Amino acid sequence: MLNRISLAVVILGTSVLLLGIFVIYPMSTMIVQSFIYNSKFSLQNYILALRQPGNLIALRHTLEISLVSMFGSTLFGTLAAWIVARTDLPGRSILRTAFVFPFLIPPFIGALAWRQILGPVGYISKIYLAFTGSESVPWNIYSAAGIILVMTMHSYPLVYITALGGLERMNPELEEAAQSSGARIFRVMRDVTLPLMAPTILAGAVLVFITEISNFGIPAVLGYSENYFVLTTKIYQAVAKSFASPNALATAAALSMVLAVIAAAGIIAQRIVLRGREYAVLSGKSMQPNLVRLGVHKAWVLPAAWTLVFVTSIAPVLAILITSLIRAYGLPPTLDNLTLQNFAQVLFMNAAARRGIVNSLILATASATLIAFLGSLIAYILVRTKLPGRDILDFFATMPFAVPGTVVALAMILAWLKPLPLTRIVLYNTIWILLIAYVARYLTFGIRSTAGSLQQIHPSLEEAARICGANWLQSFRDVMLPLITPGLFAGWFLVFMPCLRELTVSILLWSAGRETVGVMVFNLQESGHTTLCAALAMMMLAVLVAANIITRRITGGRLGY
Amino acid sequence: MKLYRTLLILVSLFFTLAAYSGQAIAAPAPKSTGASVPSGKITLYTSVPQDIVDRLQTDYKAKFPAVTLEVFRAGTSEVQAKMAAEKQAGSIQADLVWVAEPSTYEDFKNQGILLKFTPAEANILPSEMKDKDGYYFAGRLINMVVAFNIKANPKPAAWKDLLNPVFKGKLGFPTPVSSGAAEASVRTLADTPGFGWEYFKQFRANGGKQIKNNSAVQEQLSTGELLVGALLDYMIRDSKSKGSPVDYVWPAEGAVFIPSPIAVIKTSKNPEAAKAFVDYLLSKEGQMSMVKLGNFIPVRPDVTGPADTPSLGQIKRLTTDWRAVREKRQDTKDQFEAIFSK
Repeated sequence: MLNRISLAVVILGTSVLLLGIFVIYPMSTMIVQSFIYNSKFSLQNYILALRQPGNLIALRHTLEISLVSMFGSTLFGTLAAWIVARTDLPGRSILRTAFVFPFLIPPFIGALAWRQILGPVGYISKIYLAFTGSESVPWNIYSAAGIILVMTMHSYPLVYITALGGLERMNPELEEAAQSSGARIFRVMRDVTLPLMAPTILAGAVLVFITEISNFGIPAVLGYSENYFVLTTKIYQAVAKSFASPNALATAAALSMVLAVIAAAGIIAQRIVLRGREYAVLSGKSMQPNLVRLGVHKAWVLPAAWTLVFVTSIAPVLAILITSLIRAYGLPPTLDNLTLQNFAQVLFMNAAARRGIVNSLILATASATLIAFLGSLIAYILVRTKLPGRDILDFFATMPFAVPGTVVALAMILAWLKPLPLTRIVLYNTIWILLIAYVARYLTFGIRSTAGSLQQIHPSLEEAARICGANWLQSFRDVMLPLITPGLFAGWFLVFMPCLRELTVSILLWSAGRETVGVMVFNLQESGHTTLCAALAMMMLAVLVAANIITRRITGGRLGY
Repeated sequence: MKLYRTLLILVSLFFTLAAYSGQAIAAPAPKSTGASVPSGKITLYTSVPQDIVDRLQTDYKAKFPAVTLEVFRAGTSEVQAKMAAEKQAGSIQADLVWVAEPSTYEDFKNQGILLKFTPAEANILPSEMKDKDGYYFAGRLINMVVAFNIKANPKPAAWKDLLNPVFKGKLGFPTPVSSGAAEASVRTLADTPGFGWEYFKQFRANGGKQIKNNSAVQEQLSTGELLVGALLDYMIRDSKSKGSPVDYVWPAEGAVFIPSPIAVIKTSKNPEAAKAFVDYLLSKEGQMSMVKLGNFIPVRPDVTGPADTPSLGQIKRLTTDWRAVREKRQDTKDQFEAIFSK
């Protein structure tokens, strides 16, 4: 039997090793790239990239839209989580699911949907024009505001999911104490619940921030026509003509490093905010919290909640649904023009699309499970150990999510094209390269959602277990794991859903027989088959919803929403 | 111990499966060296729409049952990025590359990644359909034309008609920063006497927009968000034939004529099968498939094109200097950006 110290070393060491192989090594190839100019080590790529005024403007745009949509998402996400977890609002169980829904819609599909709703000839725009008789609408979806709007609607579920996990395992006695001392419900929320929730809310907010700085789909659909570029669209332009300049990949790598550094700054900012405060609010006892009675406030909270659901979930899906049922794109949605032909064509004539759905399900399940394990162990190292260099681990684990998916894919090609050392095994052009890339890209979700939970657990619990004679593994398994389980499950779901619809990493790494559904949706759109694209996107959404329901059933409601 | 065990099992399972899958991929090594019947596996990287390559794949399979043709389909930009990373990491994994326009192939040629060879029926192709140095050949022809929503009134007939104030704010051009065909078109118009950058300045002054790519122009013309714009002929024919409210004209000044080349990669491990695919694509049969499947105008004069399209010789075209497209890349991007950021 291994003694307690070496067991901890073996398990944590294995997780660091895996992180090294699957994340640090490929991302390092990219970092090295960024310093090579005309085959020599140099800072030239950074100098050239940052000297271009266009790139500096793009940098400013990236910060603007990410920060604003982070604040918006945090506001909506926290409120939504509080309503679901702490109030007696009728229909909460439906809301619990409905608030997650926007997260299931791929960003570029969401952007296309909003163009169909609010664009110059969108459904709402047409109604507005018909009522007012004016020539054009007073808003412009092709703008920073449009991008921020779509991003916010798209990513508030990230804060919602992490905050909900935190609320559901928070000791309700504190709130009850405040309430019985006569504090009114909103005062309790402001003075007790919110401050206690700060770590998980901030964890969600940072995830939103990093999601948005690396988002390509939304600014690509909404930014071009107004010449509004962000760093990700600039990086895309750099790699788009990779053979035109010998330094194209290096330029993209250098710009990506800028994004990675911004993401790191976001995480450091989060630490500074939380520093010196005690957040260990979990006593280990679990109990049903008393629900806050909304009373007269129901009259406006209920419609507000459902408006949020309608605007962020139902409206874009309706727009995609209408497109998927239209005979030819651009025709008005009258009865004559409706058809099921698009669905039939995607389902029966497109073997690659069917394979894509199956592959994506396998990949998403495998990635989410691997990340749940690896992420919780890395989170433990970050929060509970004094391992030197653990901040660097955190930086590398975050980096694949902070840079555009395309760049992660390029790093994976650079790292894994050749056979593994001493073998003939080639990971490239197999499903494994997709799995590795997904794990690398979304690992930070697993780490952040469990790290937030770990910070809420007082070290005394673990110490107590140790004093009673438990070894490290026993205390981790019997004390920590049950307490971080809600966070772990939230993390699983946070990884599963985006992997199921993943596009930007897969687009360079798929190969014949290893298609993913996200790539197939994008290829249909890019080939000019808008209606078929919408039909496949609807089918993908159906799979996502079904996956959610099935996971919830299997796990008795602990997993899924 | 459960967690520890599970973790170990997962990790070992992962490596076992990885090893298995690696073996499976490494196994079918191409056997054909100089044999008359090509066999083995070849991989095509292309930006040709998925449904078209899928069906070409079926046709090719019927003709060469011993060859497995695998396809990686993505936008021209993604194809290039993938190839560049592969080149950097070792060698390009494709045997064939078939993307939008010749200037990219000039880049490829410049970096020494193409294999020189003469397809079986190369003689029948007009000279503009092939590289003088013999590295690439047009597998399809695409043309940048003037497209419009049927609500456009008056209907445009020329590039200059896009400047008509009745279309103000409802005209678009695919951006040259990410689309190769658009880059060639912008350069061609900018270098054509009577157009120049002045044309784009007026285009912008009329509320003209740069659009992310060709398919976005196609979508926005269909919905009426744009009334007029520049778009590739096969895409607008495709929309029109499906019933979208769009149409197009061959602009009076001439279309931008873009042979869309295919080439064999120098490091191909199965060049015979790759060459056989090019031969097939350029054959009468292959081009008839392209007409039928994708509404393309054939690259051979002896194959009839889609209904209501001019024959190859009848297409009025502007002169495109492919070398200039490549050499003035930065200038095209800078000038276009400068005009459209105002």
